[in-house]
Amino acid sequence: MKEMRRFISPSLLMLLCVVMVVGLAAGCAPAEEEEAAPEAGPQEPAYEDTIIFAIARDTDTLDNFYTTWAIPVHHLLYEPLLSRDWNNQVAPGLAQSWEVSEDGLAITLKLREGMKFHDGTPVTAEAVAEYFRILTDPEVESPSAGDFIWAKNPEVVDELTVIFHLEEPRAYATGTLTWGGGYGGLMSAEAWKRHGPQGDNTYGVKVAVGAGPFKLEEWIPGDKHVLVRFDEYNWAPPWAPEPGPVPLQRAVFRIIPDAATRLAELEAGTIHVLLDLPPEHATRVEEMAGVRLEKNPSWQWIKVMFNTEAKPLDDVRVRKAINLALDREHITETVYRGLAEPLYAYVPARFGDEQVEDREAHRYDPEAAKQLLAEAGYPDGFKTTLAVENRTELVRIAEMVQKYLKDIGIEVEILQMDSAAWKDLLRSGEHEMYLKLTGWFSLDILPWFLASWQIPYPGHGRWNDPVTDDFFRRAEGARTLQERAEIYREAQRYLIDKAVWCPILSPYTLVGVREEVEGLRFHPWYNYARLYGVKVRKTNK
Amino acid sequence: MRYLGTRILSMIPVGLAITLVVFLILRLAPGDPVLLLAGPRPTPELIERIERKWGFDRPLHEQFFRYVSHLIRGDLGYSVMQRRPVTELIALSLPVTLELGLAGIGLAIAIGIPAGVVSAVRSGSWVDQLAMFASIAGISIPGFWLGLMLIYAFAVRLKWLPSSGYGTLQHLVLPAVALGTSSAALLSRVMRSSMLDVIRRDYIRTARAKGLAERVVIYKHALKNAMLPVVTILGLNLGYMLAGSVVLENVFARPGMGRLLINGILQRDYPVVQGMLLMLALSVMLANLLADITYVFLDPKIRFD
Repeated sequence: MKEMRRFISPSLLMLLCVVMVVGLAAGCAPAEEEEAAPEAGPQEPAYEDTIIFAIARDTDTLDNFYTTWAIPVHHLLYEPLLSRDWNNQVAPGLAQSWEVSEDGLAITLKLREGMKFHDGTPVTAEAVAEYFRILTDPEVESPSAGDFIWAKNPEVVDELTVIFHLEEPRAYATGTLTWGGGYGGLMSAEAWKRHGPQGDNTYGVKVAVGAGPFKLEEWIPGDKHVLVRFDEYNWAPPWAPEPGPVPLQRAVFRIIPDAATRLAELEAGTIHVLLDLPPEHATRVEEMAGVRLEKNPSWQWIKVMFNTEAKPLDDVRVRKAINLALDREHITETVYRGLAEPLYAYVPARFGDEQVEDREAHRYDPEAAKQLLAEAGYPDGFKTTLAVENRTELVRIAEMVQKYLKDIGIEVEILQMDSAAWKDLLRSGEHEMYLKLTGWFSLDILPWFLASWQIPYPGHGRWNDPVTDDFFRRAEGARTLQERAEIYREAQRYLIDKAVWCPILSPYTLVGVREEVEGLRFHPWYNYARLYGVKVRKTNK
Repeated sequence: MRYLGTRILSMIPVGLAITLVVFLILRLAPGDPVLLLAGPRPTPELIERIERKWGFDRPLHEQFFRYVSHLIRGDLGYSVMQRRPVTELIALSLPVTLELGLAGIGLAIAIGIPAGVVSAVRSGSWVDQLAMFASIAGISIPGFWLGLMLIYAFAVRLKWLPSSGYGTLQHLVLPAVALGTSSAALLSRVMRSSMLDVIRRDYIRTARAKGLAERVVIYKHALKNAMLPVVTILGLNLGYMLAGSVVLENVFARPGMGRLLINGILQRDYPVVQGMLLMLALSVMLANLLADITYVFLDPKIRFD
């Protein structure tokens, strides 16, 4: 028996240890483990050289020509030709000046002197021209080409001057040049030719050469991006606090798909900024010590859209009735609890004066809604469907829409499906109502969904109306941004009168930031994707 | 040897059947990779070009035969979304998953088997009861929840270990515990019942009667014979482990095969999903083969003929 006891005890001990550690540590970890004691004495604060971000989803490629999912890394690597200042106005970028000709058919850009790509080659007019030639080449099959088709004829005037010759005026051309990120940021065409699909096929994964404030050190797909400061960078836009290299030496973007894990990392202080914060976790971030929650208006909005060919949604009175049946404030409060704002317009408030708000057409008035239904010949309502993607907030909104429409007699069946299946249904034309989250930052989103030439994809609403088409043609052919905005405002009034959509709400951009991060400021155009002047204070961990 | 040869050869038709089924399910499921590939605002011409380039405009049977003919040459095709060869993606993510899987199994063996043996030998004692209670808990707790709790305890509160990521041994500890716990629990139960069964056999009594040391009796006579069902469970458990690692790779942000598979499914990246599922099927088949081979070493009565 003595033998046996000796044989047992080590394994027993091990088992006990594991059980105890797992059980106890999970249950009752010490609660006052908070560090970050105030710095002793008036000494100069010390700074970390690295900032660590967490994002939920990795990009597909760092190649601007092919990415369909731009992340802040694209913005930091690739500097755009023009930029936007803190008031969202077009400002210099790589180009220090720009000029649109009287007839709107020529855009002249003057580059700054002495700029370089990360590989040391100079940023010249020829490099810019070549970038746009490749981007718009149909053989290259870039998904971004459609937005830059106006830029397919660049002319190099001298070392630093390039002129784009347009076939027709396009007021928004200068706007697209400010996009940066995966869309308009300048890549080195030479590096792309050497390492792109025609070269050794490493571009966008192992190689990425731009003229932005950070260089690519390493990307492990699905794990992290490591960027290092580009020391020669001194061409930051005038709205940045300083033109020279950024204070940080490194920026790391970690991909953490699980929201609970991202929160844990933020709480542990192993990440500084959490970019993709789902609304259901916002309260936890607010309660975390040493972390602040930033809420800002976003470019996203959620709306019910109609297949305007499906009966009875083809009747404007029915669509208006649905618009009047929803209490947007209540839906927003219930689903988002103060983390979104109700929307009474076709684009969110972040569009500024480009937005037309109409509280009258989008008020909550079930009696008026019932009356409109009766006028349309549906005094007892009807049955219809609402297709929605499988996402918590969207499904909850769909359920509330279902409840409100029931109040006026409309029976809604919710069709819940994964994103790819949902898109397929919309393409088929067999859908009726559908709930859509849209994220976009320019008014050309209206023709994108509502111009007749976009049917069936992406014009799922099948809105075929010559008056609307005319608005859109005039707006895109406008010479100045002001003129364009005015036409779009008129178009929005017209569309609201036709009730082609049913806007519901616009969620805030939610970001969790640790308090040791200094100078990170929400930008109306780039969100948090620029790191000018950002520093991270050392904490005594 | 002949047996082994047939077993390995029989994996080919199974692999082909799996390829066909996966191929059909993927194509019949709604969704279209071309739309994702063409970006948020594609032109119809671009969509057409992309369809042509990737062969999605060809009839289904043609696509399948093309896939198989490439497969035979070891070419799993190109990832539609990442524009890189699937073999390259697998080569990057396989070690990540393998590392976690092996650590999980290692942990399961290291804890489950001794715990099972102890419980059997001291059956009915408080040690046995505690171990069996722990094993019920281990089986019942879902891996992702355990993972989150471990993160909270060891990364957020105690700050001993990193909560997510990949690269060092420290990064491996928490996911391995989260993955291995339920297998350890299961193994300990199987081990215990198998051991109890063996201990009551006549040859054990004989061994004790002829005065062998208890340790020799337990280790040499009982344990070896009791291992057979445990090995079977281990082999079968590998499939479960792989499924578990898909979930845990998400929780712990490890860039492994599970992450690749999930993203592939969501983006309808056909070549990636096909390649991944084929790899997973192969590894399950290999594990079962390995289990069968192990039988021979454990039990001389089993012969492959």
